[in-house]
Amino acid sequence: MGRYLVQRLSLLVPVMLGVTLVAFITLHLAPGDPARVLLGELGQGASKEEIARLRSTLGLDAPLPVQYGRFVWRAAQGDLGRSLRTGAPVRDEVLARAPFTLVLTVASLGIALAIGIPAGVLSAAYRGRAVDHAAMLLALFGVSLPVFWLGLLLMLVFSLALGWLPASGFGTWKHLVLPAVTLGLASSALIARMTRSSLLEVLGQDYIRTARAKGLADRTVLLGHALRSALIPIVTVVGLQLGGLLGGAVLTETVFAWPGLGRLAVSAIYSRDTPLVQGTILFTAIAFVLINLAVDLLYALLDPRIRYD
Amino acid sequence: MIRRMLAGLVVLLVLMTGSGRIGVGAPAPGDTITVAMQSDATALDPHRTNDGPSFLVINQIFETLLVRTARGLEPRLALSWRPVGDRTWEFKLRRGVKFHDGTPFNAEAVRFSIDRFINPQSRARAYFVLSMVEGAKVIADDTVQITTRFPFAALLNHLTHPSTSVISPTAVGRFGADFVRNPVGTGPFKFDSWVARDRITMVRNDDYWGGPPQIARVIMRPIPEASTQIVELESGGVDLIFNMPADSVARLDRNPRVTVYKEPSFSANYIGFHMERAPFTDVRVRRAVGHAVRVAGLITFFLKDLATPANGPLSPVVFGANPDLPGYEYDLDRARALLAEAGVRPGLRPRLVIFESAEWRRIAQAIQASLQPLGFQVEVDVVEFGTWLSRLDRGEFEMYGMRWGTVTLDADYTLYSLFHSSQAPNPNYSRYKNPEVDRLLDEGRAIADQGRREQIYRRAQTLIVRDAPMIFLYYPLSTYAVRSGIQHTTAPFSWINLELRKATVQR
Repeated sequence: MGRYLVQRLSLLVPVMLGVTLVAFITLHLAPGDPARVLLGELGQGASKEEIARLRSTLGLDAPLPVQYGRFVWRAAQGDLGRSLRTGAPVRDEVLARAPFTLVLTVASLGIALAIGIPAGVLSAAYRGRAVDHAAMLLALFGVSLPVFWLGLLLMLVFSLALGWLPASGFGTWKHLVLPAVTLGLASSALIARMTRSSLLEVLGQDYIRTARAKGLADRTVLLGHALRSALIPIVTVVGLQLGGLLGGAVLTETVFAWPGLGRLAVSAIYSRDTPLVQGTILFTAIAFVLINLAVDLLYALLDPRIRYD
Repeated sequence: MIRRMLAGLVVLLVLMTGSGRIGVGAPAPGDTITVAMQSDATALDPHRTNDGPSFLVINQIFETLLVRTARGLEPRLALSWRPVGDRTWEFKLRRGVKFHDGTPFNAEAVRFSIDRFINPQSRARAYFVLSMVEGAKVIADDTVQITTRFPFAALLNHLTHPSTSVISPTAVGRFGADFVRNPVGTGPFKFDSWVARDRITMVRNDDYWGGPPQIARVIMRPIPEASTQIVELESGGVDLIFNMPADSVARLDRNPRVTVYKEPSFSANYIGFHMERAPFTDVRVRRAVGHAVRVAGLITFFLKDLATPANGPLSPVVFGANPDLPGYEYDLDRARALLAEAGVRPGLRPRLVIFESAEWRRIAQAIQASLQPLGFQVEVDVVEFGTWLSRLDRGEFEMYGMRWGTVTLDADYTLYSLFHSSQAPNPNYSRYKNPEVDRLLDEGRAIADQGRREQIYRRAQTLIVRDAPMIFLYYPLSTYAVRSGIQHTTAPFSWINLELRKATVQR
């Protein structure tokens, strides 16, 4: 187990190198010069000399491999550089945003699980009946609704019409409700569908038939025997969702003016703020790898046949 | 690293549990005004930024020597000014003014600010605003002289630009590079706190030289989504929003709890041509395009009358704007005749590059439709802002859409940048070259006589419109909407100039 952990964690290094390299190349392939964007925001004219000056101050005049080398060398020492746009250390910017995203992620995942798993179980238990159709229709809606639209709709109802909840921003727990529900509903649909199909697959297996033959109650068979083994694919999906959410839910954060990582990443991309983009991507990648690892370890807990020695 | 994040998380959770209400979203106390802005400020040091949201905040905390109002140039930190020779201006400064940190405002502070602005080591992001300044000299505690490297008539207007705000020398010494997050000025509001991408809070400056403002706090919240801003305004989460989408203005107009203001702005929208690319090398083709676009229809149907038609490059609020320019009347026959004369055959596919925005998409569609009868199949390239800038620099277009603001409200700022041959290809993206216009623009910035300058700029605009390096579409109105109960707010010529000195709140 220990060796397995070390192995998996050491994989972080190539993953991090890989994602930062891809991000770096993509950002430089995209047209647009950071210095130009920084100087020309009001559409006004900075002279060529000024642009060249800023490029050299920011270290943008060095050849690309040199720039990337510098980034890796500093990153290895724990220094992610400074944002081109604000001059603030990237590490501070990312770490300051991360808690906001984390809170939103946990809350929305809680909502997603609270809705998704019961809905999936109900659907599987009443397969082919009205409950099943209703739940799956709702799930279809949930997957197809753009969060953008759903977010605005919730805002119109709960902020404008009813006046119960603040429309956007961050402050009390009330500010969390609408963005968390918006994000959670989308994920819950996916989780519900996954729970249903995974549960149905397990329900068809021999040991379930055996359990039923022994005369166990339907409820015990479903929740005690079947659900536990059906959880493996669900955990996988939840893990992937969690990883995605931790990178910042760009649209939801934008609609609700939530000050998380997603908005940070988007504005960094728009202003060609390479160090900041690298920083957020690095953070997301690490989160992804760690969550995947946690998911793999959970498998062993859920299914005693899985071992990592 | 983990520890720091956990600490942040704990603070955040504590704030979120009931008692830690920090007044955002919930109805604001009676003496607070909450303003929505489209994106967060980048830096609150006037020298370290050149974007709208930053200037909006900076304008509350800092002050410039002069301001430009509908009546013309007016004193702010400077009381009076006079020319000394042809390259020097002398300013008498307001006495008894203090920065928020108690540092006295005086000639030394002005000299310090100017020096930091132009010094190669600490040069301002918006350096182009004072790139002609040679230096500043302290004459007495309340007298300072600013000298330019060549005679430059528009200097006074340039000293109204928010980047030229006077900063506290003590605070710069104390905070160093962190001055961007610890701004200290002389303005009506003092900086209080900045939660990145969530809110910037300012509090009343009780010692303000012009008398303390009525309201106790100003909160500026970045809310990127226009629809969210509108819901926030209507539900009372914010008190003031700017630049609403044209479609929502009519709705807000009908809302009794909201007052919508529409004011002339210093901006203008253009469609420019690449004058070194066929077919737009020929002035007849450029004029034909001018005659083919029905600007009145565009304004009524696409912009819901939130603009006035343009006859030239300068909005009428700008000093030196020529109100008598003929412009290009909508006349398809004339356009067709001009094209025939130029020998242009149908089937051309010019590229029109615009940056992503709802407004520009609509304009581009209108242009596309307008030019179809002439046999042009306009290909519209919608790109993101950074890409758009690079495309303009590299000349990868036949036509481009642009909005330009005459921030200093003096003709020199726009005409010199966009139409002097020395400014090609950036920001003279049209690559326009006319020796006569060059001569006029050189003369206009060098002489002090404002009456003569006005004549010179009028003449230059006549030539420019005749040469048609661009089609001048319209002057957008500056719009903002305020919750009723809030009064005496103004935003002269642009949202970044929001004035809350006299604002009052009654809820």
